[in-house]
Amino acid sequence: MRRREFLRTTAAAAAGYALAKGGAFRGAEAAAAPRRGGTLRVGWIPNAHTLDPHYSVDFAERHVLYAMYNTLVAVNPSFEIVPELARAWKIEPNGKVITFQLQPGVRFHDGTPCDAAAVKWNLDFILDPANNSPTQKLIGPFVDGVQTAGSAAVVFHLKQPYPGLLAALAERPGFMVSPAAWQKYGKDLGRHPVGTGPFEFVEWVSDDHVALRRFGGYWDQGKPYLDGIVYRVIPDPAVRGTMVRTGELDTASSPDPKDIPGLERAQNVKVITENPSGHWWATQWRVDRPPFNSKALRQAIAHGVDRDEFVKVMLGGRGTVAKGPTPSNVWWYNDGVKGYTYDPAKAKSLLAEAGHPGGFSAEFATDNTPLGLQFAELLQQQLRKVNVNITINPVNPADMYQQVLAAKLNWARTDWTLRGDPDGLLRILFYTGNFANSTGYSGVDRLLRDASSTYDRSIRKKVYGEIEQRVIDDAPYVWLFYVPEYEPTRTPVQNFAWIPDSVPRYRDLWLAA
Amino acid sequence: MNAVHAAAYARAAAGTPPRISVWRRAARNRPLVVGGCLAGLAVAMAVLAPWVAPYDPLTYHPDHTLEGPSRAFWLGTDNLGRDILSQDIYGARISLAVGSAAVLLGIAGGVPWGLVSGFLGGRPDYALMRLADVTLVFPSLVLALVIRAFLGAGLSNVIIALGVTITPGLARVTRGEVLSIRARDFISAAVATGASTPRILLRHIVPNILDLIVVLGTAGMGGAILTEASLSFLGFGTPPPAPSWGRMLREGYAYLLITPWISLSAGAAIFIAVLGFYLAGEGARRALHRERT
Amino acid sequence: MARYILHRLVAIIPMAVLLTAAVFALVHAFLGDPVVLMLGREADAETAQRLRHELRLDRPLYVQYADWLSHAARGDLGRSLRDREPVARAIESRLSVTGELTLLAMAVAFAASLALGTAAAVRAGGAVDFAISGFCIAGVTLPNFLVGIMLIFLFGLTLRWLPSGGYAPFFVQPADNLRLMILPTATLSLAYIGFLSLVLKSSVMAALRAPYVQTGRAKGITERRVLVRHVLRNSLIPLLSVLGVEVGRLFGGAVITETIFALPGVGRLLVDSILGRDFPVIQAVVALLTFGVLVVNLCVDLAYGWLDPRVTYG
Repeated sequence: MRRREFLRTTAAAAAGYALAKGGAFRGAEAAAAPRRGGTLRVGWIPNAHTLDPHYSVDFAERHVLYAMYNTLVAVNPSFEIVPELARAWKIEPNGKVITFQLQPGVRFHDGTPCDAAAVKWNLDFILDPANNSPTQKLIGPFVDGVQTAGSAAVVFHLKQPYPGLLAALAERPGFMVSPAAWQKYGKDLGRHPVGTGPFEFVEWVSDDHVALRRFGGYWDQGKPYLDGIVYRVIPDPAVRGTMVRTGELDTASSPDPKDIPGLERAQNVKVITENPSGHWWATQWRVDRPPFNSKALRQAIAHGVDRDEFVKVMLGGRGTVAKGPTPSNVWWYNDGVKGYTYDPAKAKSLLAEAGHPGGFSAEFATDNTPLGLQFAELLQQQLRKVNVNITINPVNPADMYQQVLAAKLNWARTDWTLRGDPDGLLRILFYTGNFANSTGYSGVDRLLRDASSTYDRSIRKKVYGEIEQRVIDDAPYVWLFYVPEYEPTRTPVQNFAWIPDSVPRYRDLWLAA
Repeated sequence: MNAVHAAAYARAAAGTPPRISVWRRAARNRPLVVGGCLAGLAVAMAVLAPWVAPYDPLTYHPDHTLEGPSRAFWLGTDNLGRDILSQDIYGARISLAVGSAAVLLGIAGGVPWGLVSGFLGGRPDYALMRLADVTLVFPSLVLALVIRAFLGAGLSNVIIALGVTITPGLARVTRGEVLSIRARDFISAAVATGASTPRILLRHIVPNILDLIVVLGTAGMGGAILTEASLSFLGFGTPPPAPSWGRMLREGYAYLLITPWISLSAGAAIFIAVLGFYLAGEGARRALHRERT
Repeated sequence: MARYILHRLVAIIPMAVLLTAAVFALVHAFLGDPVVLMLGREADAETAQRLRHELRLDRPLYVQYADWLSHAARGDLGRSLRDREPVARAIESRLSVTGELTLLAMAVAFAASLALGTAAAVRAGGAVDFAISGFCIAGVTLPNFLVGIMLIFLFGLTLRWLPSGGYAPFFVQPADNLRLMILPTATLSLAYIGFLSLVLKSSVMAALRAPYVQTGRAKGITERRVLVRHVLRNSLIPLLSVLGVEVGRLFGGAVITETIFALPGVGRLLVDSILGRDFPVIQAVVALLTFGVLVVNLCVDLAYGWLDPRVTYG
């Protein structure tokens, strides 16, 4: 639970970057000097559809994007903004104009320069609604336009002061794609990606693997250490973990939490953990239509789930109970926020109050994966004790979110990860009518606007505390637990560190002898 | 036992007396005996589950997850702390229920199809059998997968998908039998005496194919159980939390190195049930074959 | 003979068209809308509609089908809706994987069943027969995913002799390729070894009883020659016809085998595309499957004719 001040000046940010680069990461040891060479074999989760960041929506894609592309700015393990393609930036006093100074001498994999014009091209592309980029929603509402100021600087003009912009530019909206490559490939850029990152694209065999190799012309001299990275699609979490154990893989993402004790005991394997993480699991429902438009019913169920038991049974005892969407190790967390206690008696009385004294039945949708099913089965057994009977509806994971959005599924399982700025997640989930607001929730719009229109962290923190308490009470989601992030790696793998957005970053790793 | 009995009955109906005692002959039919016992075991487990199983298969014990065999849990526990042995026993209910429903559906669809086709002959027969061939082109797992994907989740959809894979095969065989029976004298005799079509069908043809249907149905059970398990393994089978052997195999796969009993016991259960029905079907076919020649 | 072949080949086409049209209609009717699926978490109605229009998914079904057919005839099977990979290329790259797996499995099954079936027939009734028959029945009734899991558990995890999954192209890394294919081939072929052995055993036994065999024995031809020249040749016929039917089932088995062993084959592609509502891919794979099985059946019929001089084709 470390607290850092938000550093607005570029000097401090640069210092922070140097500190992050040279110092000890949470979870990684700064062992001997980095050794060049070797190919990293990664156990990858499935469902990647494109390697074009402007159209990327699946979580799996980010594992590769961060190795092949650079973002304008980056986040470090303490979730602070540090330089990347932009080496310095200045925010005007009115908060509506930000100037970024770009790294000189950066080239895309195809040789074209990544200068101010290229950066502007990328932002214009995203912001133009005609391009249908999913990332348009993330910064479109706040950014008026982007101008170049010479060949090494760009200026962002905002509609209002927006503290979440920098964090947004550290993820998908901030990836820089080669404009020349877009001219050449167009929509097929997703299968022929060209970025500025330390690794360039070799091949992608759908549902099997993606191969990258070192880019000799990378602007950050001396990096990367690895010769290449191969991401192998292994859909089953347990198999991913097993293959690290047998040595067929060097590292794997998202293993099965039950496997972890065994992996920790295994020879030649070390598990790099982030606990607590910001990755929460919850159930969601539509609060704007029956039956869950009854607050008493929602609160009844919120009291009727035993969160500790979930942590014990599903996570093997490791993991933390979740009160709301904000974990305890970020700066906008408020200790005073109150969650729900496990209180079956209260659950039953609230159930009666909601008009279901004899019991309540409903369908619960979950993704048809081993962990999703486990979750649903446990939930079902727990709620039986408070007279709530659910029928489990297993849905194809690829389909599920679509159906939730289209309100074809009402009560369903969901999980989300943290973004660098609180506005990044809370706005899209809770602002009335926002594209990811799949609960139909309304009621914190003004608070969200207040919290995201000032740079003053103490004010923001207070408002986010109010928002948190409000959404917990109104329960459009029933928050259950935070899943720790685990990355089992073989002993030679060095320099891995978790970033709190739960996306594993592989580009700075090296393999010891 | 049924197949042989029915066969003897049919013989008697057609005017030939049975030779040795039915039971004696059955006892010498090895596959029938062994298969019958194994299949009988599976049926017994399904029927007697509430009395035989030590626990309710859905009751979970959060303090005993993924444990190996012990006094309290003879085969150990699964990832939510549920008793594996109880799940295996109750799993018989699902597999057998789904299997029999699918076979019944297959018979209900395939037999009339074959009857009509064989009886009508000519163009309609050709068309109907082409249709069957076209469906048979697909491997049954793929067909069931595709149908299930179309219909969505749910037990009834799984049964429909399985039933559809059995239907065309049954239709073909039925039609073949109808053709061979039709050519026989007693049918032409019936026609000559002016018997109506439905009468001919019901009184003469159907009893003669009854034994064949029983044989195919028994063998079909084995196939249906296997296909259901395969569907469940891929994630398209019986929805949770009802214990299904195929789903247990899949879920156990993730925990093989921690406790192999989930997968192994479910796999053994599938094997015994499928083997039992397959052998019983084999034995019945042999008995039928002997009867008819 | 040539006329017969031509006639049969031509007859395949209407059936293929009928099937693909049916699948097209069903896929679109039941599998729902892939567009919001593609847009994922940042989807909204307007963007979805735009994308639908761009992918030309908002035209009437029969227009879409005609369009697909005309492109398919030219070899353009469209692009995957999930990741825009050209479908033809996706299938092509996977065909070699599934092809290698099924060919290896069939070869192993054929060779093994020849040996086992003949041995069981020649020593019928004895302990050898009992053991082999038992093995065969077990092979047929054991679910192949169970076999696969057990093999992985034994050889991959416990003994660590063989890898537990993955694929390496044969022409790039032949040694790795073969090593990786051992367990999948064993898994897939087991059921067919069992089945084919039993079939072969009964046909060999029947052939051994035939009069011409007794004549051969009387004339003094050695047992071995009798077996090879006369018995086997005639026994192969029923085996062959069974083989034709079994190819389709082999593909079904390949689906599961590829899933367990993480092989990038056509079977897995089919399952993944069904899960992801990837119409163009489902369409293309089903069409290919139909075509393939029909062609194989034709080949079997022709081989029939070659093996059995009594069969003629009009």
